[in-house]
Amino acid sequence: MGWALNGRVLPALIVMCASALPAASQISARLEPDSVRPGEPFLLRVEARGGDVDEPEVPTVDGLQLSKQPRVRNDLITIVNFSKERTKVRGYMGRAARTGTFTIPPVKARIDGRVHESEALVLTVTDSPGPSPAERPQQNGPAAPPGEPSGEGDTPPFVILDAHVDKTEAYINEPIILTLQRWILDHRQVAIRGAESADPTTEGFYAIPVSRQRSPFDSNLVERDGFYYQYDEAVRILYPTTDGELAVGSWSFEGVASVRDGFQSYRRDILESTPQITITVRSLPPAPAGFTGGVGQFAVAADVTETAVVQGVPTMLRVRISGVGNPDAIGAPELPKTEGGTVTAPVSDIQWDAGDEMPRFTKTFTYGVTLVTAGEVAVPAFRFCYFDPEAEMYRTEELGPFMVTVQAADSGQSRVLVDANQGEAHGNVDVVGEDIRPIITSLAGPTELPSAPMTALAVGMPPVAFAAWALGVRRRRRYMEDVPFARSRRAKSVARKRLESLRHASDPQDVIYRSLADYVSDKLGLERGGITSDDVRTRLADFGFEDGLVNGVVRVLRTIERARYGSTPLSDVEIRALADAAREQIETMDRTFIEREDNHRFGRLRLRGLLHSGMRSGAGVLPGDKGRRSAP
Amino acid sequence: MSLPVCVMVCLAGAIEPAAFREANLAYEAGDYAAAVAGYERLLAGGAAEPVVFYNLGNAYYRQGRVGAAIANYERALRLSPNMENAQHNLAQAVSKTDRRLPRPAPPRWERILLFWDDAFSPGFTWKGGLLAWCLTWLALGLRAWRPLPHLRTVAVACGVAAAALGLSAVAKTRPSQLAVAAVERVSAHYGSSETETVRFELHEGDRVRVDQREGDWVRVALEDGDRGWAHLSGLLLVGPPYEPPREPVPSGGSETVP
Repeated sequence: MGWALNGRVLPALIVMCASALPAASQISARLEPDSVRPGEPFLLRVEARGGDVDEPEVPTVDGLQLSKQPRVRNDLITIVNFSKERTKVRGYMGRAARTGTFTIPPVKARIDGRVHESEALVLTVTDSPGPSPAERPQQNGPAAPPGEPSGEGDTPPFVILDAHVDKTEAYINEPIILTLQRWILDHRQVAIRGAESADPTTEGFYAIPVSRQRSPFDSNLVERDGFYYQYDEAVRILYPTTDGELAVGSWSFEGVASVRDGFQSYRRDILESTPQITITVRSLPPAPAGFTGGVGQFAVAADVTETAVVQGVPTMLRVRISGVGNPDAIGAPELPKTEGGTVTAPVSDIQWDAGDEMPRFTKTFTYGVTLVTAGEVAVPAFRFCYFDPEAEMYRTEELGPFMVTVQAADSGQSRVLVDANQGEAHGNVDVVGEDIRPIITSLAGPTELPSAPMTALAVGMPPVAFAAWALGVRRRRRYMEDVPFARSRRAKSVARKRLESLRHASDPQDVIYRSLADYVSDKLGLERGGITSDDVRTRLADFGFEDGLVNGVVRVLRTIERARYGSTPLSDVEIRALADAAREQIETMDRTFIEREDNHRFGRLRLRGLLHSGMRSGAGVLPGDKGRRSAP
Repeated sequence: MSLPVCVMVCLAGAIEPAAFREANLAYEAGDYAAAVAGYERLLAGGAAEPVVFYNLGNAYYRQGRVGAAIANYERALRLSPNMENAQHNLAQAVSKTDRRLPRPAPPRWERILLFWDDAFSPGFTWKGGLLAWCLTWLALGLRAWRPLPHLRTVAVACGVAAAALGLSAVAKTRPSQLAVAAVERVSAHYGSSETETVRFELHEGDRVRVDQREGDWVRVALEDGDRGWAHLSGLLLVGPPYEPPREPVPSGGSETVP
């Protein structure tokens, strides 16, 4: 029963067998291989068989990185004596971070409702050089089915990896060439899919991107051991950044090979990796003055672009450093102070030449030199110091001095550029190349935006003004449209004006009577004219006024009624007393009306809150409230 | 209606003409350090005017401090987007930077909603918005007094204009903070500490968006979405508070003259 089907998609195979006994539930596990080097991948293969098989549980082991997701998934279903039996094969990738012997606990899986365990496994991780993965055909996957070509003898290795360096001992910042070579079998019967490659780790090295030196991979078809392979190669330059033992990690390749052999086909896992490379890094000896970090073999040259310039017009001093090494580690040479001029901070540029076996570069430092003193001016000599790892010593090269002829600037001609810090030194030298526009000397009006309170005020004022305006308009409209309301609101002022015009009236007692009676009519929404003291009593009593107040009003009215039919007219004193009494009664009534109105409003508000409570306001309905009466 | 504008004008900061003239004279005399000091004094006094920022940008430019120049041109353009001289000099200064990065784009919502307001200054949008706001309420008030035809339409139109201009004014007066690298190299770390690993480096004059601040550290975002924490000592914030750049470390007595 060794039909192994590898692949990402689960194939199901149903086989009818005429066995008398059903197979027992069981789980087994094994390591492929059981001895690896640190960082090298291995496979934990688990096979569980039974009627109902759950996914195996991968144990956790300190020091091992075991993937929880299976890299290999095979499912096999067989029918044994008319009962179904399922076989699950899972492969989990793992790596060991350190050397030692690791015990992997039993792998558990629930089979037919019971938890079954495999036997414990032992993985040996050692630094000792053993057979490379390419030399272990069984590493590429499970054993081929009987009768099928195995990876050993019949089939060549599917993938061959090789990683090597040009030196295993180096100084800090000394370039090391790391070459990664890969051969992938190119055969019509073999297809390699799902290839995943993990680059080697280069912790502790400064690695310049490969694209800066040569294309990362140049594919070629090459012959090896009688078979054709797709050959890839990548070269990387590593610069150690610290001394001690540094390691280039393992380079690995994972994939699946589909092999067709006549009418049969099968799949095989590919797991390839290179061993870790250890490099011993030595520190540099004590550096002399002027050392800027360059380690390697360099040639240095310097020149000035213009040897004759006009006073204040800049020229360039170029320092070219070419050779083999880490260009990013090379700092700019320090230039001594130039008398009669200034030197700007340099601008650097790196050009690579990938034509040689060892990539070479040219790093150029360009200094801007502005000379403001007319005559022969010397840009002083300077030194460039670097460490030669082959000679194991520092080398220092001196460059310059560079002579420049500086012509005096003509004030009537071109304007020349000088450093801002030259101050009084530049005399009639002016600024040239007005590439920016001049300053603005005129002051425009302030454009500062208002503060937050001012913003709030400016934004809040219009709606507030609108609200006040709208209220006024509404009130005015109501006065115009709601006559009872207007009469009620104006009743007091009308009555008071009438009483004030008493002295000019031809019939003062009638004016008093009408003031009082009309006030009551306006307030209660009654027709003016024809109202008597009895009507007033009745209406006020109906409205719920207290007897004392009602009697006071009626008393004034009756006094006037009686006086109308009396023989003698009322004296001025009596008229004044009646007017005062009327005024007082009007004031008292007005206060009462206002209180009632307030109570009424309050009651209306309360009613709104107590709708359906059946409560009713006991007070009478004021004029102007028509149409606004709340429902009980 | 014009009262807020009047009050605004009265309360606005004013430039002291004598100090401004003095800084201009220093600039024209080639004493850029004195000019920078003069303009910075004006700014410290509250005269945050486009013309001061512009002149200060010129002075920094002449000193070779391209990052500080760019920051001040950006400040001028924030207050006066149509200032042609500042636009020209900003482009000139950016061309002197190593990477010539473009200005970070504003947030997406702003690009969609406020695609129309690039040419308007904050003052214009603020005043326009206030005017439209007042007109809205005026139309509503007229409509409350006498329901003339179209008053409602006028009120709605003015309200929409007020909302749009107001949004623009808010976006312009509180724009997303920009920062400009004011020194040759500014390291952006994974966290707000010097001990954190450096994630990327800004070159002098690079403009980045600031999306968070913790003390003297700001989280800056590049156009490609990469973020890192940089110390404010190497950056200049374009928005307020308008702080001067840190003094550059002297290197061999030389200065760059663009």
